[in-house]
Amino acid sequence: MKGETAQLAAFAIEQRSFPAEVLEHAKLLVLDHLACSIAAATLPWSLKYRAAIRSLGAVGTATVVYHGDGLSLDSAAFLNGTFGHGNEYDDHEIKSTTHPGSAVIPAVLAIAESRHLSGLRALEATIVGVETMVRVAFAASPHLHDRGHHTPPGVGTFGVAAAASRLLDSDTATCLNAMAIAGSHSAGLRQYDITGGDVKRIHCALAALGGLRAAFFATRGITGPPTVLEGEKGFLNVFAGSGDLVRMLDALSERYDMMLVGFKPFCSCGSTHTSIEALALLQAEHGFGPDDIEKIVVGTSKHVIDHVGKITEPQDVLGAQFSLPFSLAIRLLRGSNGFYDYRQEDLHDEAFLRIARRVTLVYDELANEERVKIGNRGAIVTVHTKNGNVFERRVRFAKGLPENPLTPAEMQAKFMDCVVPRLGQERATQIAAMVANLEHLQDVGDLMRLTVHDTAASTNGKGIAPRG
Amino acid sequence: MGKESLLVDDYSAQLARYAAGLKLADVPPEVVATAKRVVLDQLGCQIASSTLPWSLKFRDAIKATGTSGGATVVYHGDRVSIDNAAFLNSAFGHGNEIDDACVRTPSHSGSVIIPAVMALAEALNAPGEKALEAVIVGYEVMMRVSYATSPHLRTQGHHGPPGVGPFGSAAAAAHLLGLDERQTLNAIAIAGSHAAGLLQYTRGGGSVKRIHCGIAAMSGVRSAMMAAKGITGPPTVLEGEKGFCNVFAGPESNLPWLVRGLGTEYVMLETAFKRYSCCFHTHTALEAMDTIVAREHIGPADIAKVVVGASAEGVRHFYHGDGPPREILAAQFSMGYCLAIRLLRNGNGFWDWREEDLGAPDLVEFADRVETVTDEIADKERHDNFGTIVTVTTGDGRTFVERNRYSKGLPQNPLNQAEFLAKFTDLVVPQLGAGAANRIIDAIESIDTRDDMAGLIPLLLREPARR
Repeated sequence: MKGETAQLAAFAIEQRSFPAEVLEHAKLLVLDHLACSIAAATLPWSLKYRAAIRSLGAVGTATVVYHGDGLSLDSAAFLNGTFGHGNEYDDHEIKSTTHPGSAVIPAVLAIAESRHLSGLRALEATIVGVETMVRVAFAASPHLHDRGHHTPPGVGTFGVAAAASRLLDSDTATCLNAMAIAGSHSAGLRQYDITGGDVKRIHCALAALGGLRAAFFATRGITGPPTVLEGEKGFLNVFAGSGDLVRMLDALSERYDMMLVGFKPFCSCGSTHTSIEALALLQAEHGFGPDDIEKIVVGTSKHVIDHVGKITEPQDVLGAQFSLPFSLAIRLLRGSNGFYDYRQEDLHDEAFLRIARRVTLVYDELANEERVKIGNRGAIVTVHTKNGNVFERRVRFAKGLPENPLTPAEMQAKFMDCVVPRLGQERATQIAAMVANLEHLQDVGDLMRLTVHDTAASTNGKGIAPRG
Repeated sequence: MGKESLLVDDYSAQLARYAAGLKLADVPPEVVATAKRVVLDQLGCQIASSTLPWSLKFRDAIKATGTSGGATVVYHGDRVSIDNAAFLNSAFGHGNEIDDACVRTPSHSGSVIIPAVMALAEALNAPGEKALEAVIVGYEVMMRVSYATSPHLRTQGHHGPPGVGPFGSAAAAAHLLGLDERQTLNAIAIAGSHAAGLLQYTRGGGSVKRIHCGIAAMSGVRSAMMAAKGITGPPTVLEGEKGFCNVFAGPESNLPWLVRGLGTEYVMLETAFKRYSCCFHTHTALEAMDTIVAREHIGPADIAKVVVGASAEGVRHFYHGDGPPREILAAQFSMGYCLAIRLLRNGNGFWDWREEDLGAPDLVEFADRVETVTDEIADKERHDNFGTIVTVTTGDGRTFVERNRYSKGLPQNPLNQAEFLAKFTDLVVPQLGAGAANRIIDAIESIDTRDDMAGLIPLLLREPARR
């Protein structure tokens, strides 16, 4: 019997066909990743990361979205992953607390572009990469997170290594070495939960970088411990304390856990979404405004309190996105929690802070029980108005999760909302159409060219991978 | 930011302040001398290892990721991005188990800090004084984080260098970049997100261990560069509830160690230089065997049995696989194989580990006579030394016993200058020739007076690669 890591490697390389709905979901993942990364490409921290990577001298042939820089494959994957995860808007699998798209897809696109591979191959690599990452995340869940690690930079390296190996035409043994080498790149701390800090933006990108490099090392004959996940000193034991190996491999190649990956309608930590939705529903029903609020009590699980309940007065935008109190204030004052609603200038605005300070998070037995049993992030929101009314609403699964999915029209709307301000209506439409038919695209380079804004494309030819 | 730092001691911030402010003029002369030694030793390791089979594979892989730019790969002369130069030179430096180490805390600072400093110093064409300051900063930060988390980091199954290394290389790189206290703290904080490392290679093998310093060297350079551009990270990255020490090593971490005597005590002085290209836990036994063989006038043919008593950790480190080691790395961790090549190939130096010797009948047969056991005294003294007790039984029934606590190269049993330089020339002359080796020695001796670190680089390259 092959080891558990070896079975994942075999799946990643040897799986020949994928169900139609899985292929369709992979296209949505690519679409959403491009939306998030293009929108975030000009955020202040994105520009800082870009400046840092450029000053390292990583010149190459893989394209950085929007800007069009040509960088080495790993650096392009790193920056696009940083942009993708750059504003808490990218996809997520909440039961295992991970963000697969921003880790796997930038690595896939960088390799596929540089090697002029087809859209179908990119989609297949995305599927095996995301599937691997989510399954490792499930095996490590919830201990990895509970111990203070952040999931994506821990489990992402394995998924990226698997996806990259498939694109590099590695055999199963080489893919296993890639995953073994990836384990030496697994990292991740959640101290940013407590203090804030831009560094969280690269927590998917680090996995993209480490996993892609690991796959290249393996192709050159470098080896690693083949029991990297299940071994006594392997990832699951060391980082998570234990691992559910049965869950990791359960119905592998028959059931796709990738289908559990959801998309975000709100530009904040996934743990805030049920509360935001509950507040929005109460507001729609009862018509109160920001000035009517006496206090808001959110009853939720220990996990949610721990993850988004520590910051009330955020010092930076990331802190706001991880602050449930501040996110509720944004909902009341801006009427939405979209990409453009989390703004630095609001952080010290007394109107926002006044509401945020009126929000309390308390332990709720039912939400906690469900969180442990089914892995949701349910919450019950109780609004006390100044005139003495008390309104209450429980939301168990937020919009965008598989239990309550976004419609195709809503997905499209999110994409356009993100991309039109950056690239214009026409280009956004072209990209969406190309991704919708991605399995028929001959060369992923054509897609990457569309992601570059016009001025960059015409002035910086280095951003375009040479043909042939 | 930094709300939590009001509640706990701000150790990360203290380290950042120290890293940003260090001046070579304030550093005691013996520390400056040690800094020069670690640089020279590391360059020797890099140059010697640069053409090993696995080194060439790493180089090939990095070139395949399509990088070009910023800094130079030693010996070969490739121009790659700054972080990749740090990575590859580090992979070379840590490539054959002969780079510097520390007994009391598991870290290989040289292969993390120095490649990072050299790559960035080259790219910035920094003054040598600044580079030497960065080396000291890097060692102090890395070794202190290692002390604070030792032995728990390892007990949890993490490998030290990729865990604690990013903090040191980030601090060193931040110093070279001239970052202020706040930015340096951010560099250290960003480094925390790069901290990694598993010990599974000790169970399953694999050449990936060779890059465990490289990952850290690269991460630190990148972290500092990000901080220089204004990226922020959690300022309590080391001491926080979800910070490195607590998450990777647990609540028993000794946080005050991070800053104990900072600026007056130099933990860097505890750096040990390795004479033998193999697991550090074997070194005292190799020398104990020398003592017995010389004193008793016996040879390998006389020896029927060898029992090596070591600390429990030492015994765990040793190779215990089925059959003889099938790869060099495993051989370098096999006590029996180490003793066999000492007695049958006349040494355990860099050049004594040959693929063609793997499975050689005389070595395998001798290695089979060697047994390792846990020794109570060695175990008790583990945090002071890698001591072993060697018991040799001859074919005619005589028994000789020798205990050795401090192998040559440790601060308690230092290499004299001639011995130290002999190691360097042994590493470098076969690769670059005697003239080049001597020019490097002279250049490092006067490194603090040069104003162009980039000018040093051509000395480290093979002839056709020099420009």
